[in-house]
Amino acid sequence: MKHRIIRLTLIVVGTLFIFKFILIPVRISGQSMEPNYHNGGFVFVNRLPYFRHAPSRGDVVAIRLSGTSMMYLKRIIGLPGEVLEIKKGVVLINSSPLQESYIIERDEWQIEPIMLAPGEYYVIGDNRRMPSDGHLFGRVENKRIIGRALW
Amino acid sequence: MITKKVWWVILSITVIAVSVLYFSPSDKRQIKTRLIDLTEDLSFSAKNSGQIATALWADKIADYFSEVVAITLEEVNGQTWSLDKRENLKQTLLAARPRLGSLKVSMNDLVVSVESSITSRAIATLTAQWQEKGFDSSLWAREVIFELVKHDRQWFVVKVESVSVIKR
Repeated sequence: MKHRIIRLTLIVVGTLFIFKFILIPVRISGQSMEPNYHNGGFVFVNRLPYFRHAPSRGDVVAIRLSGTSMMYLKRIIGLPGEVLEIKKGVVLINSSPLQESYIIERDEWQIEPIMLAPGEYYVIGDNRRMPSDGHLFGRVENKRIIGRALW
Repeated sequence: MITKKVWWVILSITVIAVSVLYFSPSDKRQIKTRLIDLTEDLSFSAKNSGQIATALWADKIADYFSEVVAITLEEVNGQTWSLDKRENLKQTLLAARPRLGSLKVSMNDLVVSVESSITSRAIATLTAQWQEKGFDSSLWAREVIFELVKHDRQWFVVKVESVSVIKR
């Protein structure tokens, strides 16, 4: 009986630890990541990958605000030191077009060239059908990126 | 073996400690409660939307702020919306409410730091979800910094500023 209680306690504590600090469950609100992540959907944010290496282009990442109760879910398209611009909806990295297989339709967004500082990433949503005015995207500091979406 | 007398002493100390905490909460606790009350009072549903309810609501919200207040919030498109003075805030609230079907404001990850006996600063994630009549519901979430001052033993908000976590 005693062993069973200890085992059960360890399982509960371990589970709480994992889902609080390593694999954070996130419910998605909003349409900015459509069609790949739907409003009302659910995803886990894995905090382990960025302990070992820096975020990569194409990663869908969670960006923390004052804590991790509420986070932005965005895709990285620009890396530190790169010059990024968007011309008629096409993302250009150092003047070369970026292949984005995850985009189905795109509106003709226009963003002037911008150079990313060290430790700065450019994040954006997958839903480019919506007008750019209704979409939150841009530069974010590395320290704000807390993990990668598990799927 | 703990005697009955020792139990009574422990119980008395606990009751006194809880009473002290409850009846004279620390500044940090007062500020947390005040800000959470503000978000709860800001929220409303479609049910209570008459003119009197709107006026009472605007008054109640304005009471959380000092007479001179600076509010700067970032909109989705990266532009900022600013407002100063409590009276202007009240007028904005009065104008906004009839257009909204409902509003739900919540505050998460609230961290309060008391800078002096009369000034403090709090950082939180503020989320607002509203339904504009005839439109889909909208969601706004930002990291927000609040600055408060103490006046007549009550904390008033003097500054509200959103942090641009993602910058255009």
